[in-house]
Amino acid sequence: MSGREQPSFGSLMQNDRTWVRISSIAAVFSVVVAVAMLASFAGRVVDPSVTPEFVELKESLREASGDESVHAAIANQIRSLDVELRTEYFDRRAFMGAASWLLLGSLFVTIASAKVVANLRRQPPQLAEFESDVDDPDRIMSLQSLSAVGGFAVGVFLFSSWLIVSDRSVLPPDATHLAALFPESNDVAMVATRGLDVESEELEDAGATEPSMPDVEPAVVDPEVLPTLDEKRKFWTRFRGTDGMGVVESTSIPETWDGASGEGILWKTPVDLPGTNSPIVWGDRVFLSGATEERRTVSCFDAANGALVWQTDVPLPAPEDDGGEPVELTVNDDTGFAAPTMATDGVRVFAIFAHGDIVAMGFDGEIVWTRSFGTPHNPYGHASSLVTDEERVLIQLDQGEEDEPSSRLIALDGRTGETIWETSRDVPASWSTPLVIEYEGESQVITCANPWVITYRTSDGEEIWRCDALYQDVGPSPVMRDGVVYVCNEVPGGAAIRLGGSGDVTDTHIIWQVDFGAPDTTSPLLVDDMILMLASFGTLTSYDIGEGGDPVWEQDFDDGFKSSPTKIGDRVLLIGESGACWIVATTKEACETVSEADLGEKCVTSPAILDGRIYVRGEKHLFCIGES
Amino acid sequence: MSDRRSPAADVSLPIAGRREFLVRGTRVAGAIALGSLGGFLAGRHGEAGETRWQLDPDKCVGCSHCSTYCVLDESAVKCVQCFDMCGYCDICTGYLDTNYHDVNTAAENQLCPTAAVVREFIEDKAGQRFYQYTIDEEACIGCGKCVKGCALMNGSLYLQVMHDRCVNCNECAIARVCPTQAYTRVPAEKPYLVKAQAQALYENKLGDENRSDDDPVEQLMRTVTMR
Repeated sequence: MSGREQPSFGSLMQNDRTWVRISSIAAVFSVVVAVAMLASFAGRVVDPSVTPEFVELKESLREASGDESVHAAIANQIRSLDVELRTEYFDRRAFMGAASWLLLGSLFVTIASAKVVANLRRQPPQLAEFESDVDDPDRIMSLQSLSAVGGFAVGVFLFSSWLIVSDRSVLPPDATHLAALFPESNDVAMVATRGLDVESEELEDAGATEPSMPDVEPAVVDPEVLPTLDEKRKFWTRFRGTDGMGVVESTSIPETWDGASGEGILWKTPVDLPGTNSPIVWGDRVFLSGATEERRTVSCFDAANGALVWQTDVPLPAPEDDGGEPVELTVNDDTGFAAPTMATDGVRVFAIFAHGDIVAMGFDGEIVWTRSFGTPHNPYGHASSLVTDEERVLIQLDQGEEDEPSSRLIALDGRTGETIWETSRDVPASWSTPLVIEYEGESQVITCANPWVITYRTSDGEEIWRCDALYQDVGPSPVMRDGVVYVCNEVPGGAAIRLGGSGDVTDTHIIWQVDFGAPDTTSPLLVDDMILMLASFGTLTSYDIGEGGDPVWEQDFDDGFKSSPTKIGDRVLLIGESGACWIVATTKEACETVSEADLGEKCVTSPAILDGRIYVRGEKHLFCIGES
Repeated sequence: MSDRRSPAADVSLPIAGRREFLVRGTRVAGAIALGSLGGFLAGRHGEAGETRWQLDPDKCVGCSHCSTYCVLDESAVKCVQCFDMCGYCDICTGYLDTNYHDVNTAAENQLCPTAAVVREFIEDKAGQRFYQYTIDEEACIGCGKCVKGCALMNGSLYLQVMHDRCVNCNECAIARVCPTQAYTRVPAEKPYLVKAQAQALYENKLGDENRSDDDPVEQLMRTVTMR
């Protein structure tokens, strides 16, 4: 009996049935992988966190926030489920990746082996007797079709060539033209805004009132003569002093004090309502405002002994006419309902609150007039302080978003509360206080916001110049010396802008820009030929005011800061959020701590300095620091 | 037997055989090819350049469509971090769930569904702790939750189409459903966009004459599209 001869590998490869089997197996495998992939894809979860069970557990966790044991149990369930879901998610993704390669490989094998089968089974062509078929209608049709296609191609070629040679394009040449074809949503928004403006104007024309506060009958105001600027400079009439620079020359202050023990403290008086505004001082009176969601007051203290002279309640906004619901206002806890510092023109004091309501009072505490500008659209709460210029009270009421700002600068007549002028501003909400300056015989007001630093004439509100220099949430206020205004914000940093320009001066009047150490809340301070910037995380950075460039020096203080630095004589006073105080001497070489003190309670406000005394508002008290 | 002939038989055909047909066909094809080549070269010489899809971060609202509508199983859109805009916050609204209980990496406190935002302690200064947040690109699904969260603070986290993943579809499936029309075509040689605020920041930095050509900011600006 002869043994069955095993086929060689070579003969197997020449056998079409071998390749048929390979092709069939690969095809079946491809189908199986494809089905598995489809099943996996159909059951895929793009975002594991939206799984109903996960969402339900998170909801339960939120509801159980008061019960720690239940909270911990649910948290553990969430963690387990999170691991399970993410493992499943990433396993599926890994499977899809591996399966894709398997499918690709198996399809390649299927097609390649099928091609081999086709090659092996190919029969040599059977030559038929050539027959001339010049009369064949199909052949004629074929030739005509070929000619038509060729003619069309030539036409396309000629047309394309003409387009190229004539340099004409059927497409918009650039993005601007393209954008012109499709109106942007911003345009629509602007149209809508204009519509609102018109509507509000129409309302005003029709005699409608602004969002109302309870009407207060104007008190009889004598046609008094307002104090001059020099007279106002004797007192502390606004945030950071009458000039807004935080500088007091030629006075001395105690070197140390302790709020807890009373050492160095002349007096301290409890302040009943919270507020992050700073005190102002006129004569022997110190003024503060305070507010909660339910109550708003302006308080006057005796500068000699801290006694409360009077406290006047400012009525809350009336319920809105249509809904009858109370006016709702949400503010950041760090800002509060009374963040803006008051101001005085020497005859009256002015206070503005987070609701957008401004009140004027006489020095006797009697309300002279009130105005309401409606609740500002401000994510943290309105914080820009008031400033006065002659008879005007200036309000930087910045609000809204970058793409839909509704900001304005308003000048009111301090005697009557009537609007002298009002200028619309194309900037979003900001928290900076404007600075009134005298430049070339003209009174101007400098404002900081994102991104524009804009200067206006205080007489009529006309814009003089603007400079693109600040971004994001702008809190620090500007300072000025010798025809140069200095501005800063955490982003992008600090800048020195030369006055005297008109229009957009971004490319022509910026002297220098720096990008390190700029604060997000506190305002800069000019000391000699340096500008000091105090970052909220405790670094005091000094730059040369002429050149900017690299920092002259940096000095860290172990506290957070929201209180702006103040120059008193040849010293600089820094007050940390914890109440820790530093008195430092700054030179071009270094910043040296002269002495340290402690207020004994938290402090986020800036001090008022008068006659060697420091008036500063802590979290719960108004302090007077000085020597008797 | 009838001597009828087909009318077609009287036609004098220009092409009598297969060889001539091929010759003429090759000529026509050659003419088309030459025309196409000429048009292609002229196009290359002109303004037309290769473009890519990209997401304008200033228009993006983090709607999560990017994670679900991309034709790829794993979306080509990923989150990126602009460190120059980041506040390095301890309480990061792009990292922590709105209802977080503790500031830690536990699943119930994290906003990212795949833990793709990596939180790393940097320093403790003046009583404040600073953290760096980076994106694990492999884990990111482009859902935009961190982008919406970060928008409450500095807005340093934003989405971009990653061009090592994007297949550059003729009609982008995400662009069709993008609610803010944030998808746009950008030059292929500069396929990424930065936020307008970051761009202004970089331009300020570039304006500093002390910067050298090897400055990382300049390197970045060579890869992104200026608007």
